Amino acid sequence: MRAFRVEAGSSVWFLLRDRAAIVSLAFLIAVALSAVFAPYLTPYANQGRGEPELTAKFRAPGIKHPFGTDGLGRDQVARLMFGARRSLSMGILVVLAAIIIGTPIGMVAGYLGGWADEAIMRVTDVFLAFPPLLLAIAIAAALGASYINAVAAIAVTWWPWYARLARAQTLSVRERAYIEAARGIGVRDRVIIRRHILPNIMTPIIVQGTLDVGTAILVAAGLSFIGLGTQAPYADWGVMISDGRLFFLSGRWWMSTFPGLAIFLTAMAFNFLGDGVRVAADPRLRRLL
Amino acid sequence: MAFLSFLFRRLGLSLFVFVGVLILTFIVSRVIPSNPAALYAGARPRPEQVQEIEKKLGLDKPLSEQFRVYVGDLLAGNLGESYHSRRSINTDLRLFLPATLELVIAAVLIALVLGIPTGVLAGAYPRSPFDYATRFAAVAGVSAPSFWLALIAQFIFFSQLGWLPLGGRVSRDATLFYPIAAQTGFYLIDAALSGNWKAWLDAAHHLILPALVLSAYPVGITIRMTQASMLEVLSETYITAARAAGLSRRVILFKLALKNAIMPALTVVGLSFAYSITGAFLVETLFSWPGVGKYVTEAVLNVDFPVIIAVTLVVTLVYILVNLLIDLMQALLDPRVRLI
Repeated sequence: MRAFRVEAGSSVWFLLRDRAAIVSLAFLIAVALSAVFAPYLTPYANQGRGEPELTAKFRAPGIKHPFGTDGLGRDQVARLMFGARRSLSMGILVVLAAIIIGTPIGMVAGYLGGWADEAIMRVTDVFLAFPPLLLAIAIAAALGASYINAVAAIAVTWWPWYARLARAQTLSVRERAYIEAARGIGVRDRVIIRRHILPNIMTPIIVQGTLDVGTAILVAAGLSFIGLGTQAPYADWGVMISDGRLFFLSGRWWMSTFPGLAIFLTAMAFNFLGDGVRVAADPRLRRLL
Repeated sequence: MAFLSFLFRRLGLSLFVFVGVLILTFIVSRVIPSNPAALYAGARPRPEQVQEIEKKLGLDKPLSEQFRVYVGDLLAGNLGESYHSRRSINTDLRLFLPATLELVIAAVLIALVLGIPTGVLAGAYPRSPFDYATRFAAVAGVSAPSFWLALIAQFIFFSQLGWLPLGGRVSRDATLFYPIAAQTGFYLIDAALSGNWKAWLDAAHHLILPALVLSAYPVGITIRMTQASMLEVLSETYITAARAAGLSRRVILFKLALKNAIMPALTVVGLSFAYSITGAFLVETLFSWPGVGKYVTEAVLNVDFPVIIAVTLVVTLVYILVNLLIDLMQALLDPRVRLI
């Protein structure tokens, strides 16, 4: 753990100088806060949870409803804030699950080598042979359409990336002197992997994770868009775009526009933040850029 | 010799991966669902329908036996029939797959034509305003949800400007007055083969907007990868040596550096292909594009599970073949690859 902390410490000041990363971080914190405190921030919390308000259908953006209302009269700001809960959590859960599944598998492959490595890597080959999203669609359809099944379906298609990353990192760490020393004094493999390899490969995995959350949010929104994610009466941003799409060209543009912007800006923020973290964590890149 | 052995190893790997894909799709279709028969019977089946499906698919038999039948059917080229339309999935895919491939290939071409030169220039002039602008554009490209971008694009180019059609592969006039004689299923090729240039223009006109929307993500990826590899190549010692020797900037960039930086471009083709396909699954419905993406999204709505699994298999097979081709081309062009 100490190695990781030292490395992280020296990088934080560098990250703070990256303006795009800082603006992105501030934006993401704001979105996260508005998601967490949504019930206290909007007077239309019930509508955010899906309750219709049939007297206020299809209101264009105005003072009372800054982002308008949808076909069931629900305030779109409230809907966006409650949608953020689902969209953000889907992206984060997918990446966390993928890291938790992939990292140990990759470390074992890299540390043991030989046939175990070969077998594990061939399994990842099979998973990565599917175009992204396609396998997730099939699994989500097999499990049944729901929020948590969509998360599971995407995570199942995503872990091989982390297995590969963890394996590559383990390979480069495995031959270092301190690992050999640990092995020499008889420390068990399990302990070496957990205490000596894991802390030293965490940085690249966290960097990749940060970059991936944006993409995971996009993919999750895609599944929701085609009906395999969050189910009514709840909504995430993908569902909101889908709900508004039939009205989009006929003048009621607001229903799809704002959730789309929300996904777009959030994914962008995760990308800039991830890039910032990547550069800050890698002294070699710091020189290049 | 080295190439031949690479060829055989690579073919072996593809075959292995394909077998793995068969197993995985089998697991997804028969093991993961709590009641596969109900899934195959579609939305709200009657109990006797479920029983019938159970017998037809052999779900009462052991999994090993089921797998044998599953693979046997697929090797015989039989993908089953759609629950919803009762049509053969083979017939449907023969119609829909070329439409999607035409769209995806167009998107990949756009991605390469826009992305590679932009990435090279951005990598050659790091920290220039151009570098910052392209980096921003690249991040924007990979961050925009394709299905939202499609709506915005339709609003601008159809509703407001009226430059491009809303959707479909050809206009009604084309289907009525100068129909395309179907041969390959790729309208641009078919129209060109029969010299039907009016229809060719019409089809191209319809292709532009969806292809542009699909290319947003691949363009972003292509710019990023080309820029990064250019940056890396330019920091190599042989470039420093060339600079010290007084070679011109143009020669260094486009003769010495680009040759080594262009190799990742082939990798980018594979990635672009993958992401364009992904995009197609989300966007085709919005453009009324009669491809596999629309086919699958409709299948999702109708709980038409056989179609979802069949499309997953076929599109993945196409993707495996594309990656195989790319790897072989890379090995032909770059001897170092053959050693891996």
